[in-house]
Formats: sequence, C-alpha cells, structure tokens
Amino acid sequence: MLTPNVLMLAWEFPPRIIGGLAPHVYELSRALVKKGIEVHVATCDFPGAEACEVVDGVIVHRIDSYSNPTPDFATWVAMMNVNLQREISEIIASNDISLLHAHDWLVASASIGLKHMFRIPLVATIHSTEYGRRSGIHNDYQRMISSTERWLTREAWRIICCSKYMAKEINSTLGVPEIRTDVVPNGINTALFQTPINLEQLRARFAQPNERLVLFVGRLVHEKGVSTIVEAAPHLRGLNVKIVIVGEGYLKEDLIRRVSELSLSDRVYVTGFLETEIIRGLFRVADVCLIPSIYEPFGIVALEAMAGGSPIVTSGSGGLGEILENDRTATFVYQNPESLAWGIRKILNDQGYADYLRKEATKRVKSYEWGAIATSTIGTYMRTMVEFTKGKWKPF
Amino acid sequence: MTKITPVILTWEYPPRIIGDLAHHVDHLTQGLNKAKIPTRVVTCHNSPYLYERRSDLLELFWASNPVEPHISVITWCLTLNSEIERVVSDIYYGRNREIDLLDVHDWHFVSAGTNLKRALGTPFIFTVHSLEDQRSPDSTSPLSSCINGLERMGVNESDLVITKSELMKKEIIEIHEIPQSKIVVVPPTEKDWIKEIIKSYCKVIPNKRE
Repeated sequence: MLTPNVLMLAWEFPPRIIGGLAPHVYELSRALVKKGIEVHVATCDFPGAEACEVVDGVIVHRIDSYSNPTPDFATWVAMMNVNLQREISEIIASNDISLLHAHDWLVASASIGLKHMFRIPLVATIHSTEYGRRSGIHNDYQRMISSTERWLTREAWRIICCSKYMAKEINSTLGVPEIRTDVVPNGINTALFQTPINLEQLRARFAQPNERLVLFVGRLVHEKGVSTIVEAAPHLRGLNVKIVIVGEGYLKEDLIRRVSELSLSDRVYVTGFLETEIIRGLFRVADVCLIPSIYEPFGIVALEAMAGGSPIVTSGSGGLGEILENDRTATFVYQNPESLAWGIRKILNDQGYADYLRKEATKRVKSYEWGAIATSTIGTYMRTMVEFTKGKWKPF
Repeated sequence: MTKITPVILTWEYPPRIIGDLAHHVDHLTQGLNKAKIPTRVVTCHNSPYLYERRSDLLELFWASNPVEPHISVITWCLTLNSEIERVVSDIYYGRNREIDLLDVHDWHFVSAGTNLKRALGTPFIFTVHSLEDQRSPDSTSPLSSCINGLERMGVNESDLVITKSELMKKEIIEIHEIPQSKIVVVPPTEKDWIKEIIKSYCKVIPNKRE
C-alpha cells in the first residue's frame, strides 16, 4: 500500500503561531486529510491547548517542549527535539505511520533519529534558509543552523520548497541537487477573504473616504524592503494617499522616527500588530498593496493581496517573480523609492489598469488553493514511497 | 556460558580519552570479552573509518557529529545522539535484531538510549559514573539544568541503573527520587565485578537467566 500515513513535525501549529510555518502546516494538513491521507502533527505544547486533539481530521499531538531554562535558543531547540522524539516513538508505533514530514531545521534532529529507528522515509520542507534569512552566514551560531539544514536535506528522501528561487538557493547554499527537490508553492484559502464584514467601517479606521489606501503587510525587517515605502512617500505629492504599514519587527521604531522626520505623520500610519481578520479586510479595501521585498523565498502576502483583490506593486524578488506577472497580475518596480512611487501612481491614476490587475490576479490565485497544494504534496509523498518500496532500506 | 549481546553507548572510548570513563569502559569490554560476551561499542570519534573489530568478540562503531560547528555541549551532544541512533539502528536491522540491551554510560547518550528503547523495544541500562550535581555542586546555570534533566530522564526511562558505590546509589536516590530496587551497585574494584555486570544485564532481558 503506497498511500502513506503521515506524521508531520513542526515546532509551531495553531494556536501556537510564531511565523508563517504554523498556518502553512495547519492548512496543508487539513487539505491532505480531505484528500484521504491520515495526518498526524507532532508539535510543541501551548498553554490552554489540548495535548491531543483532532482538528478537522488532523490528529494533533502537543508535546512538552521543554519549559526549563536553557542558555540560548539553539539549546532549547535541542532539548525540544529530545522531548518530541521521545513521545513520537509511541505515536509512530501505535498509528502505523509510514512517512515522516519535517518542517524546517528546528525539528531536524528528532526527524532524522526517528527515520533511522523506524526505517521510514523522511520528506523535508525547507521554508527558508539561514543563509537567506541572514543575507549570508556570519558567525558560528548561524553556521550551526546552516549545517543542521544541510544535515536535514541530506537525510531527507525528497525536499519540498516553495519556489524555483528557493530550489536554486537550497542547491547553492546546502548543496542539494535540484533533482531531489520538488517545488510546491504555499497555498491560500481564498474563502477566508469573502467573509461578510463591514468593509466601509473597517476602511474608516485607517483612512479618510477621500484618501487612497496604500497597504503594506509583513514583518518590519530589512529583507521586506519596508524602509523604501517611507522613502517613497514624499514622491507621491499630488496624490491623496494614506500609507498603512502593518506588522511588527526590529525596524518599527526606525520607521516611525523616519515618518516623523519627513513630516509624514498624516500620510503614513505604522499600525504594529493587527488581528488576521482585520488584515484580510484591509487587503479587500486597499487601493494598492506594496510588496517591495529584497529577499522573499515565496511571498505569501502576494497570494493574500490577490485573494483580497488589491492591485499589487512589487519588486518581484525571489518567489514573487514566479507568482506574479508584470502588467498582468502586478506592477513590477525597482527596489528604490522613486520607482516604487512610480508604480503606485501607475495604478492609482488608471482605474482600468487597476481593475485589470485585480481581475487577472483573482483568476490566478485559484491555482494556489490548498487543495491543489495538497495534491502536489501527495505527489512528493507517492514518489518517495515508490522509491522506498523499491529499495532495500526497510525495517525488516 | 551466558549468551547475550549488549551494545555499549559511551561518549569516550580509546583512543578518545577525556577522563576516566574511557578507561572504565575499555576495562569493562575486555572483561566481557574474557567472559565470551560478544560486545559492540558505539562511540564518537572523528575517524575516517566507521568500524573497527578489535577482537573476535569486540566491535567498535564510530559516529561523528553530523553538524559542525556547535555553540554548546548540549547542542553538540544532542545532534550526535541522532547519529548514535542511526548507527545502533543499522546494527539492529543489519544483524537480525541481535541487540539484547543497551548499556548507556553517563548522560551524554541518554536521549539515544531512551528513544532506542521506545522505538526498538531494546532494554536500556543507565550506568551512572557521576552526577551533574556533584560535578557542578552550586551551579544553577541553565546548562547544568539541561544536563540534570537528561540524567533524570536516564534514571526514569532506563530499566536498571548501575553505579559504582553505595554513596553514589544514595545520591541518585536522593536527587532523582527512584526506588532502591532500580539501582544496583557494582564496584569495578571487586574481583567478580564482570559477573555482577552480566547478572545485571540478564535482569533486564526478558526471559534471560544467567
């Protein structure tokens, strides 16, 4: 029987949400269950969440993630892996698990140990690399994480990554041959962007009725290119715009200070953290969405903007260039303030062009629904199981 | 003659000699060999070779750390544990499951011992030479706390704890709160200590009598 019972290892799963990995594993696992795959998720515990529960058919095991003090994050990760691995052994044995699926380096040690002890194949999704996150490897801490990523990719039968750009990066930084890599994009649940809410009321919280709403959503970090947005604002004279910057990150205070220096406080609003439902609503009311990223393995924000119907101005970096198409689903610009401002003007000054981008993006985003992503993931599972079945490396 | 096949997990074994542990385990394997017990040692050593047969009854399996560099002894040790698990699993599947028990020396490979026991059903003995509370008596550092946690895992998850002295036994019971019956004292200075070790090994193997 080739259809595997899958156990996913992920250090975050709702309600424990640290970054984009939790929603990814949540949506993917549910979509896989809908396609008839038995899916278990082993993850870290979270206050108030059940130790074991079934979420839309996904069997979630929340394991003590080591609450004692540790000297640093990497040591905590190592101890967390010890706890995960110890408990998962029993889950594998009692649920006839036939394939392991690890998400990122944080669960490498447990996944690899389990692979060998049970002799079941391992698939790994690399969501991003340490090299990419840090724009290079600069110290031993980062070297250790990068080495762990290399170990995981060496041990995994197949590697899933979200874009051709990431496949190239994994190839060049971790030495993974592209033949072992499957590109499976991130997915989106577009239905969540149709929920009935009072959009007019929501919009009024962020902009005046006569202001055009220009939106950025993302972590406020260098790689997202968010500083370019503030620097672009002075180039938008003559346009009545409100730039809304949503997210948290180490650049937040710098951005607020710069907005003040440029006397743009009435034009640029740095909101900080906002609830997901509000962000989805903003994508639906925004006149333009900006994605000026410098480094972007995939660019899930592009799918969200497309699903919300917000025309996009983007740098097209990394995976964005694979999701979006210039003058069809987005306006591509250079990574500098003048060019970004030019892109904003192009959309705001031409309603017909904006409507065309919106219409094409709405069509295109359908191919990123989680059902389609689950089908591609099953393709990777089946390929792995066929190779495993043919090979000699087996428990007995 | 007792036919048992133990696998010993130790983070030092000659030529890797850090402290007394290497000498002790060397002494132990020689004794087991004299008693005609086929013994396998899985240990860490950055050798170009993965395997060495030191005698008819003594095989060494070397594991090297798959991740370099490291920022702490804990990250170093715990990634190495996964590699130890790989090596032991390869022995297990490659030799028709011929592993009767694991004898894990000190905290370093406790995680591997625990996981291998849970995954393969192999009995696991934890041999305690010293405790973190003795090595760093006043330490409240997070690192000591991690090592202490691993030692606690070892005494709780193992089927039997072997230690060298009554004093150590008392300390283990006090610190880790386990029943006296779970610990045996085998001083390596005693003439018949290897016999006592074999007797302890037999205790944890189902349906095995010396």
